[in-house]
Amino acid sequence: MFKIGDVLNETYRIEGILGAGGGGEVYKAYHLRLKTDVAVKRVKDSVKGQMDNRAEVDVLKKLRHTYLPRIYDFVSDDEDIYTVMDFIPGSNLKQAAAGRGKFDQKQVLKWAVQLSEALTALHSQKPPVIHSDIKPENIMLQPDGDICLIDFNVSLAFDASARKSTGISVGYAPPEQYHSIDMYGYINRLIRTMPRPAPARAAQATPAPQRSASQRPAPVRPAVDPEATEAAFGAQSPVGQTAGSRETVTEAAFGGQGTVGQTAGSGETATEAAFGGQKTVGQSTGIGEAVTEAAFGRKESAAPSGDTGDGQISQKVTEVPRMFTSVRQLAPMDDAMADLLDRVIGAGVDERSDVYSLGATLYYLLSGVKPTARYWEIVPIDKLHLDISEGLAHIINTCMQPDPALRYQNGSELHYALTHILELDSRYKGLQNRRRSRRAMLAAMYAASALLIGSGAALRVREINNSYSTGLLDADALIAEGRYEEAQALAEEQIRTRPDRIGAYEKKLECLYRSGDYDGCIEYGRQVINSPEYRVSTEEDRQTLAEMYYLIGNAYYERGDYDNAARVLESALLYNPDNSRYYRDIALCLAVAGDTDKAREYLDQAVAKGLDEDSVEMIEGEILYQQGEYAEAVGHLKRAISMASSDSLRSRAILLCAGAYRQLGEDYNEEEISFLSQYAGEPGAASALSEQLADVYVSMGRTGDAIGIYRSLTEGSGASFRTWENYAILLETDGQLEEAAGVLNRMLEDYPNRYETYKRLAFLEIDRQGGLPQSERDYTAAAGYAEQAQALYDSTAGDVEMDRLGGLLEDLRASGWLD
Amino acid sequence: MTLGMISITAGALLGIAAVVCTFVFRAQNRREKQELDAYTERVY
Repeated sequence: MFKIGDVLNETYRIEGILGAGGGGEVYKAYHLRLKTDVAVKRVKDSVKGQMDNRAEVDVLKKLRHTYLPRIYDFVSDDEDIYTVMDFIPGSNLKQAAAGRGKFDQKQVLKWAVQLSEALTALHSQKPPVIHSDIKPENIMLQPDGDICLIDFNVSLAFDASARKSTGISVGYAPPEQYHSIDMYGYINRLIRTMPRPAPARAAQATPAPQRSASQRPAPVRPAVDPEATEAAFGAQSPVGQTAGSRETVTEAAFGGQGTVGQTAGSGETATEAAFGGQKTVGQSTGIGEAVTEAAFGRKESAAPSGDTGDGQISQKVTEVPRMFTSVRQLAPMDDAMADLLDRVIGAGVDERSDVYSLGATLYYLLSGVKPTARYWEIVPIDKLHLDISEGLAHIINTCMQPDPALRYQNGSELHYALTHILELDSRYKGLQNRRRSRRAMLAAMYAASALLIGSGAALRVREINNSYSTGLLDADALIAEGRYEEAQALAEEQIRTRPDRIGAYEKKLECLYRSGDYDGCIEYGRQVINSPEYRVSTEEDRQTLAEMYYLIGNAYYERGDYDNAARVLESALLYNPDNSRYYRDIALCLAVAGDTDKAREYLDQAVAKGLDEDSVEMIEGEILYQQGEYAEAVGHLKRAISMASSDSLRSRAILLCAGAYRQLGEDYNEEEISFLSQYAGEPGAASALSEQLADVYVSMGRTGDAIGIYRSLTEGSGASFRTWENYAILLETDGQLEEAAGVLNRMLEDYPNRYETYKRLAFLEIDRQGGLPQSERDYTAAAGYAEQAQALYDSTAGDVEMDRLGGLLEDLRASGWLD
Repeated sequence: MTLGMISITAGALLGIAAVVCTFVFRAQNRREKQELDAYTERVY
C-alpha cells in the first residue's frame, strides 16, 4: 500500500486513498507532468499475469467517451500493476440515492441514455469490452449532473476464453454470471439464512412513498427481499456496518478478484470475503453501508475487515459445497423458470449481461429497492405502481429478462430503445395507429376514387366506341339499301361523336359517291383530307384513308377526269399498297386516258398483288379497246363477262364489248347481233343494247326487226324520250305514217314541252301532204307544228333539223302553199 | 345515364369526400400531436 506523498513511476504522487475492495486499493494521485488529479488503482494479483497478453489493455487505453473515465496508463512497480485513470469528482448513484430513496423518471431516463451510450462504446470495441459489474456504486454522478461509468477492473480480469466473470454483485448480476448452480444455490441459501435487518433500517431500504397512503394503490410485494439484500455471501468473517447505513449491499467475488469501485468519498464498508481468497479488504468512510464481496477460488483464508466491525454476518468459505443440481431445490417455482435458470446459470457473460445489470440499476434508481437474486421473485417494475411511463417499464423489464435471448442484445439496442422510448408508449402507439388508420382510409378512398373514375372513363370510351361502330354498321346497311341520305346523316352524327376517328368520314364519302353526287364527293373528300380532324394511328386507319382516296378517285373517273382520278388513286397506294383494286382502277383510268403503256404497268402490278382474273381480262380489254384493237378487245371482254364476279364489272364489260362491236363494222354484224341478243336482257344495259341491236338491224335493212325491238322497248315502262323518238323516226322511215303519228301524239302527252316532238310532227305532216294530190294538200297543220317547235326551241342548241324545217316552210311559202 | 357515367360520377364524389377527409384528418392529427407533445414534455 502507498502512503500519502509516495510517488509512483516518478509521475503520480499519492494524495489519499479513495477506497479499497476485492480488486485492490484506489488512490487519489496527482499527475506531476499533466498537473491534474488522477485515480490510481492497484490491479489484483490474479490479473497481473493476464495483463501482458490482454488486448483489453490497449482497448481500454484507446477508449474515449464522455461517460467513461479515460484510462491513461498501466504502470507497475516491483510488486504490483496499477491503472491510472481520470479522477471523477462527485458521488456515486448509490450515495445519491441514499439521501432520497428514489429518483423520478426524467432524471433516471437521462442517466439511462448516458449509460447506454457508454455501454454502446464498450460493446462496440474489438473485442467487445464487457463491464460485468454495472451497479449504482459504479456510476459516478458528476457535479454537472452527468454520470460516469467507472471500474473496469472486472472487465479487465474477465476471462474471455471461459466467459466467466470473477465478480458477482448480487441483485445486479444476471443468472448467467454465476459460475454454477452450486454457487448460485449456495448464495441463495446464505440469503435465506441472513438475519433480518433492524426494522427501522428495513423500512428505510424500501423507498418512501411519494404519495399519501390513501393515494397509493394496493400494496404489492416488493421486488426485493430485504433480508436477502442485506446478506453477505461467502463472507468469511463478520462484515462491519457503519452506523446509520440504510442498507447493506452484498457483493460476491469469485476467483479472488472482486469488484473495486472508485468509491471516492463513498464511505462504504467493503468486506471482501474470499472463498479460498487471500484476504478481505474493508473500507469504511463513514457513509454507513456494508459492502460484502465474496471471492471464490482461493485457498488462502480471508481476513476479516478490520474497518468494519459493526457485527454483520461473515463466514469463511474455502470452497462451494456440491449440493445443488437444480434451482428447484432452492424454492418452489414455475417449471419454465426453473428450466431456464438451470440452462442459463453458468453460461458465461456477454454484452447482454451488462444490459441486465443496467436494467437492475434503473430498477433500483426508480423504485429505491434493489432487485433480488431470486429471479423468480422479481416483480416487474410496472407492477410496483410507480409513476413511470409504460415505455420505461417495458425497457427495464426487457433488460431484466432472465433469459439473455429476450433482452436487448447489446448497449446499442438498448440505447436505441431508450432514445425511442416514446414509441413504446400506448399514447404514442394509439396516435400512430389512428394515423395509420386514417392514412389507410384516405388511401383507400383515393384509390377507389381513381379506380372508379378510371374504370368509368374506360367504360365510357368503350360505350362511345361501340355506339360509333354500331352507327357505321347501320350506315353500311342503309347504303346497301340505297338509302344514302339517311346513311349520310348517320355518318355525320358519328363524326360529331368521334371527330378524331376516320371511319365516319369515309362512310359519308361513300354515301356521296353511291348517290351519284360525284362533285360533292370530290369536294368533301378534298376538304377532310386537306384539313383532317381525325387521327391516322393504326393500320386500319391507314386503310380507311386509302379507301377515301379510292372513292374520290372513282368520283373523278365518273366525272371523266381520268388524269385526276389516276393521281388520287395513286395517293391511295401510299396508305395501302397491297390493294389490287387500286392498281386495277389506276390502270383503267390510264387506259381510258390513253396512256396504255403505263396502264399496262399498273395492270402487271395488280396481277402481282393478286388481282382477280375477271378484272385482269376487263382491263386488258379496256387497254386494247383504247389501242383500237377491237377484235382482241372483244375476246378479253367476253372472257371478263363469263368470269365476272360482280354485276357492275359484268355490265361494264358488256357495254364495252358492244362498243367494240360497233367499231368493228359490218363484217361483224352477225356476231354483234348474236352478242347483243344474248345480253340485251342484262339489268341496266337493256335499253342501250337493244337500241344498238335495232341500229344493227337497220344497217342491215331489217327495219321490221328494228321496229319490233323498239315496240318492245316502248311497251315497257321507263322508255326514254330518245327511245320514243327513234321509234317514231323508224316508223316514219318505214312508211308507217299513221303509226308514227300515234307514237308522236303519245310523246306529246308524256313530254309536252319538248320541241323535238313538234318538229317531228311537222316533218311527218309535210311527208303526209306530199303524198296527197296537189289539190288536196294542206300544209297548215305542218306550219302550226313548226311554229310550236320554234316557240319551244332554244336557238343556241344548234339543231340542224330545225334549220332544215325552217327552209322547207320558206319553200312552201315561196311556192304559195302557205300564206 | 350509362354505366360509365355513373362510375365516373361516383369516383368524383368519392374523390371530393377524400379531399375533405384529408383536411379533417390533418386537423385531428395536429391536435393529437399537440396533446402527445404535452404528454411527452410532462412524462419524459
